[in-house]
Amino acid sequence: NSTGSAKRKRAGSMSVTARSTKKAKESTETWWEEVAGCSDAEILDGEGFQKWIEDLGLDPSGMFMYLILYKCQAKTSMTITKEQFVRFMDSIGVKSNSQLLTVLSALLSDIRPATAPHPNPNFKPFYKWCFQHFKPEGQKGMPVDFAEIILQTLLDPTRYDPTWVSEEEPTKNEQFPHVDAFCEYITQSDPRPVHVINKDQFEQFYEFNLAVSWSAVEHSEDSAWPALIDSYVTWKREKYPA
Amino acid sequence: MATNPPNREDLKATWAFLEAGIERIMRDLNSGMDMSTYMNVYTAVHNFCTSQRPIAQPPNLQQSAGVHRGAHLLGEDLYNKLIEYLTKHLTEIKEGSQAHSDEALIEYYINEWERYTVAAKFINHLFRYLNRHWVKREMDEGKKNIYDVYTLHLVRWRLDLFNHVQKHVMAGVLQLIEKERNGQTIETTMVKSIVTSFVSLGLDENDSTKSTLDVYRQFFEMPFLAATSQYYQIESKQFVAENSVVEYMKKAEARLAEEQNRVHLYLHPDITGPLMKTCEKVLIQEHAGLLREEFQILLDNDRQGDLQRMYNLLSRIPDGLDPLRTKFEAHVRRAGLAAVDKIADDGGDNLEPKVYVDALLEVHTQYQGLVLTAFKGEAEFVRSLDNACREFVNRNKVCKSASTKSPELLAKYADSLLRKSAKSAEESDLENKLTAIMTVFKYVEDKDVFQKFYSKMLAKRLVNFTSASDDAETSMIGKLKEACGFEYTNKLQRMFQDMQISKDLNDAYKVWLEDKPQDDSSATAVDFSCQVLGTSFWPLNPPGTPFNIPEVIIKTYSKFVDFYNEKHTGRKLTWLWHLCKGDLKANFCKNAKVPYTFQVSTYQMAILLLFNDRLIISYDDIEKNVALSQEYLVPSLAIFLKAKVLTISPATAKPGPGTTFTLNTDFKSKKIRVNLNMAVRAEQKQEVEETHKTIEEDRKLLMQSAIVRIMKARKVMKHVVLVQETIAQIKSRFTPKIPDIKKCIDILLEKEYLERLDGERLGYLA
Repeated sequence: NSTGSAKRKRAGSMSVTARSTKKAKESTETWWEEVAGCSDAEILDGEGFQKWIEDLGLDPSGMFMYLILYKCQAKTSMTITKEQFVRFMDSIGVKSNSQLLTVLSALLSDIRPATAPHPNPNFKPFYKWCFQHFKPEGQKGMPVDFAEIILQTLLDPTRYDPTWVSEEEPTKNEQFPHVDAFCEYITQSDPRPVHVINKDQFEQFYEFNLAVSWSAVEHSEDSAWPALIDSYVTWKREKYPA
Repeated sequence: MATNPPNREDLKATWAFLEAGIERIMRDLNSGMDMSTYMNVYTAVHNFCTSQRPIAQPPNLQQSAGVHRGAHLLGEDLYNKLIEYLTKHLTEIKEGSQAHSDEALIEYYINEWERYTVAAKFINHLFRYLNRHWVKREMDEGKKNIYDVYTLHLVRWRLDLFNHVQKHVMAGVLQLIEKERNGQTIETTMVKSIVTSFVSLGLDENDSTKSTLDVYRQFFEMPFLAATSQYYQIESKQFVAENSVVEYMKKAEARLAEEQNRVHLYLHPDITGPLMKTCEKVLIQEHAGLLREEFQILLDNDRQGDLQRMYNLLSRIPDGLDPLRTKFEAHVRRAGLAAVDKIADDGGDNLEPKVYVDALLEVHTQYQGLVLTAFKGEAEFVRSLDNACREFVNRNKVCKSASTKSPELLAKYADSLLRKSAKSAEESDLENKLTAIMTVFKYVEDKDVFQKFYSKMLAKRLVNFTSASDDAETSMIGKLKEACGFEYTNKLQRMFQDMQISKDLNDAYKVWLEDKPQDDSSATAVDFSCQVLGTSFWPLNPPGTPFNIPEVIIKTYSKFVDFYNEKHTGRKLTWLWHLCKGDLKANFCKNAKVPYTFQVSTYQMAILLLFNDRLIISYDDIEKNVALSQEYLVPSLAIFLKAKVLTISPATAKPGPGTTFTLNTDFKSKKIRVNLNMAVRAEQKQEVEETHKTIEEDRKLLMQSAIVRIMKARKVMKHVVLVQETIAQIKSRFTPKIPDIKKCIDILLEKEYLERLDGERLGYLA
């Protein structure tokens, strides 16, 4: 059980930090300098992330950045501060890239989405947080082109694996078959049904995936789905009759 | 027979004496019985019952008890003797009956019955002492099968005679009734007597003073109903095979009336229910399918009398009418659709509102009449009619392009009635027509669309002073208010109020003006009046083009603005130039003795006034001076060209940049007043489109406010329930579509009036 091992690890490192907090902090801070590239860097932005991911030898389209942003509870889009970095890394007792790589698999598994009958309760808060984080500041919705990337990343369970690599021909999303179709609907239709995805549509889309199978037999216009999802189902039934 | 009563102690002697008396009464009552004989018999009963004769008794019983018991037992002896006698007597009657059959038997039975029952009454009287003491005591002690002497007669009749002969008697009775049903005349009193006699035999076992209908029901009613059922089964089958359904309905109706009458004439009233039920089952129920098949044919041929007959018949059986209602509803709907199809083909795009509304009304009137006459205005048929009308009023060929077409045309028709015109209707006729509009209005689902168009056109009538009658306007608004409530007509009423306020305001302005020093003659050179109307009540849009106010009226304009601001500080006046108009005196025409008066719009006025200074002006100069945008300027000029007030150069060009216009001093007209203020067709079309657009917007707001209202009251609600409640609240204005409601919910979620609690429940955010 990967979640269990992550917890054990965290618990073990907690005792270490309790004994010599200052030393641990120092080494975490050293590591920050290494990651951020210079000693007085206060933030790590998108560019910095890219470099870090490269150093770690991960696929840039993977979940790593999402995970770190979420775990650090980043306030600014795609940017973490030194303070957030240190707080989080200390909390899990990780002080270096290599240590991070050993726990990465467990961290990712912890938030990996799964469909019914055993949906992962840790995924939903992460999913909801991502909408708030990635939507343009001061706006209520997320442009559909952007939403497409977010949805295809977040709702692809295979990406929650450090060894995942992006392929030319992406494999079919077996667990969340509506994701690709929905993204096609919102980005390829002419005219587009909407220009932005709002919070309710975003959140309900995940619930929709849990409740409605690919054939969409469970769907009814009378149920509570947002109108956009209703119109997606109408479109899908025509385009991809199951 | 003046013999004295026998020895009171001697049963044999007493009974012999009594029997002779009884026999006399039974057999020969008509000969009479003298008082002393009668009294002697009576006394003999009394004496016998009170005799002290000790009879076979357990010896150890006390004396006092013995006396009591003695009387007791003596009564019993007498009672048994009487039974013995009656049995013998009735057996004789029974044997006598065997000589008769059919009607003769009935006659015999009735005669014997009457004789017997009369005698029984006398005998009962003679045995009164027995009744009062022995019978009473026995009954008090709860003994069964002991009756007073009269009842005993009936009981014995039933046991010793009735049970043996009733079958034969009934056979005769049924035969008699069948004869009558076949059209022969019969002696109905015979049947009546039989019924009465059967009823008399019904005795309540628990209380002999009461009678029941048990015997009658078992021995008369049951066989009678069975025979009736059989008779009509055969008859109706045969009749249907040989006659039309319509003929059959007449027959069935007649038969039902006949049977009803039979009850009155000679049957017990108790049978009405069962008899009618039996007849209805055989005559109607068993042929209901056949009748219903005929229904469509009758409808198609408008056979009101036959439809009424069918209604009357089928209304008598359970669930008899339901299939008719369904068929009726479908038929009316088809009729409505056909009527609309016809005029839609004839009228095309320019369908006259009147033609359309008349077509709808005609169908409604026809079938409402049918419901009232043939179906007795029965509520369920009224509902079927309403359902059908609602269908074809809202969904038909004309409405195909837009579901809102019906209310639009209806409102236009109302406008054509209420607008001043050459063929204005008579006051009373007008009122009828307005009422008819309300009939259609009742069925219109998109009542908000009607409201929109109606208020637009009312505004026009008021602004242009083209309303035919204030009374009619008020009446119509009253009707709408009655149908849809205060809120629906609120704005319409406020529009009327504004008109009055404007009138007062103009008067006040005139007074105000008189008090002002007349600094400049041009201020009063223009005869001016205006209406000041509340923006929020009037469906009027601000002008769609910039406009330079002509120099001539600018003084007047600013004077009024001064006046108004003086009166109401802080209010903003928006001048709706596109709705303003004026009269111009045309002094330029060479051939006119009297100057023409041009009735023009303010825009046209501004253009024409330019020609006061010059006779030839270029399009660009006009445009520069009046500042109107092209879509307003070009049509205005076009009207002048058409009326030949102006001429254009080059001569064949259309108004536009590069053209020039010359005032036509040769202008001629048959009329002194020339109306140049004509609405442009394109404008009208645009207006309709705009109206539809505002309807869509209004609907969204209406749905959203309904949702917020509901959620505010309920705080937490299931999505499905919220959708249903919203529909319920809005239905009186229009029928909202579920996806549209869902979209509104989405909007409110986004605006954070609502929140999603879990998949199905929504919460209200204050």
